[in-house]
Order: sequence, then C-alpha cells, then structure tokens
Amino acid sequence: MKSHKNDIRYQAYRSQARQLAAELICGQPDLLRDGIDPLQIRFEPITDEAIEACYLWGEEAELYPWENVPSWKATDRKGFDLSVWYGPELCGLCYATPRQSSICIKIILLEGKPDRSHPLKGEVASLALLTIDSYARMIKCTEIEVQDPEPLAIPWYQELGFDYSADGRLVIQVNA
Amino acid sequence: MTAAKRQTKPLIATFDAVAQFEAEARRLAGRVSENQLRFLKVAKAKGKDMEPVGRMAGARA
Repeated sequence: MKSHKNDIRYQAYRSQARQLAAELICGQPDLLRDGIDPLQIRFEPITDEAIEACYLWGEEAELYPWENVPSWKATDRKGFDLSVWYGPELCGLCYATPRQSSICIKIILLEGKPDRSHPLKGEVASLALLTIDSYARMIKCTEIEVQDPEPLAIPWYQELGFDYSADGRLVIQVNA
Repeated sequence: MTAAKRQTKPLIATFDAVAQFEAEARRLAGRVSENQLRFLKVAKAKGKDMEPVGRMAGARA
C-alpha cells in the first residue's frame, strides 16, 4: 500500500515539476528568446508518442535507447522523464534519476533534436534543467549532476552554472 | 453498500492523494530559484550559439 502511495507521490511530483516550468515561462515570456511562443512549449513525460517522434529525427540523430525509458520508469520510482515539444514538434528528451543517492539527481540522458533550425535550438538544456531543478527540490536533492556529459556540451553546462567538483563530477548546487 | 459505491471509494481516495501530493510538490519546490532564472537568461543570451544539437549527456555505446 505504501509502495502504491509513493508511486502516486512521485508521479504527482513529476507532473508538477513539468507544470511549474510551463507556468514560469508563460508568466515571464521575456525570459525566452524573441520569437518563441511560450504557449507552444509543452513539457510532457516520455510517452510512446515521444519515442515515435524521436525516430523521425533523421539520419543525423544518434539516438539513445529512449524506447527503454518506460521499463526504467517501472523500476526507478523517483526517475524523472521529460519530453520537450514546440507545438507538434519534439525538440528534446531527458531522463534523470537520484538512484543510489539521497542528495544528488543525475542527468543520465539528454538529447536535443539534431536539426539546427528547430524552434527550441539553444533552449533544450535550460528547459530540461528548469523542470529538474524543481523536481530536485521536491525530492530534497541538493545537487544536480550531469553524468557522462557530451564533451562538446561541457562549455555549455559551465555557462549554465555547472562546475566540476573536487572529485571530478559536473554538478550544480540546488537552491543556489 | 452497492458495488458501484464500493468501487467509487478507492477512486476518491486516489484523487485525494493526488491532490495532496500535488500541493506538497508545490510547497517543496518553493519559489522560482536563482538557478532557474539563470538557465533561462543564459539560454536566451547564448543558447543559439553555444548549445550543441543532438546528444548532450549520456554514455556512448
């Protein structure tokens, strides 16, 4: 019974983290690049629809095994999945989890649409981090770590506020 | 108690639990954080030039 209750709890947390991100950008649209309509941005779980859409990203895509996410979710109660859409267009996917830690949520996978002209180009990581930051506070994690950052993306994470810890992890403190 | 009423009770309890956890989530999340504002401001200013397309985190096979 407690297990079922916790499933409901983390499901509610995930949906609220996505909802809070949507509310923030709709409430402060000036925080987005000119030309982006905040009402077109959708924060959703990784559904079958999202997995099907990422298969249409084209030959440039080096897709992660996003089709495995539903089975990860089944065994990873606190795992956080996110698909970011602009209208009908899938622009990014992310999976993060605090597994094996009570203080750190790790971004395990993050991938943007490999098309340089998609409407959320340059916003994928920040929009994913918006939701993860809220979710981290809900589950009382005090840091976000990027596990296995893509080398080309490291300067971008650092620009966003991440830094390497003494033990070599790329992290940012929550509530900073 | 009718069968319909017996089925409705757990459903109401689940709705109540969801509402309670949603309120709890918002309380725990608190206000918009400095990190969140920075993520958006930095992305607005430099994202188009600096953010790579495609994979950004995850072990290569």
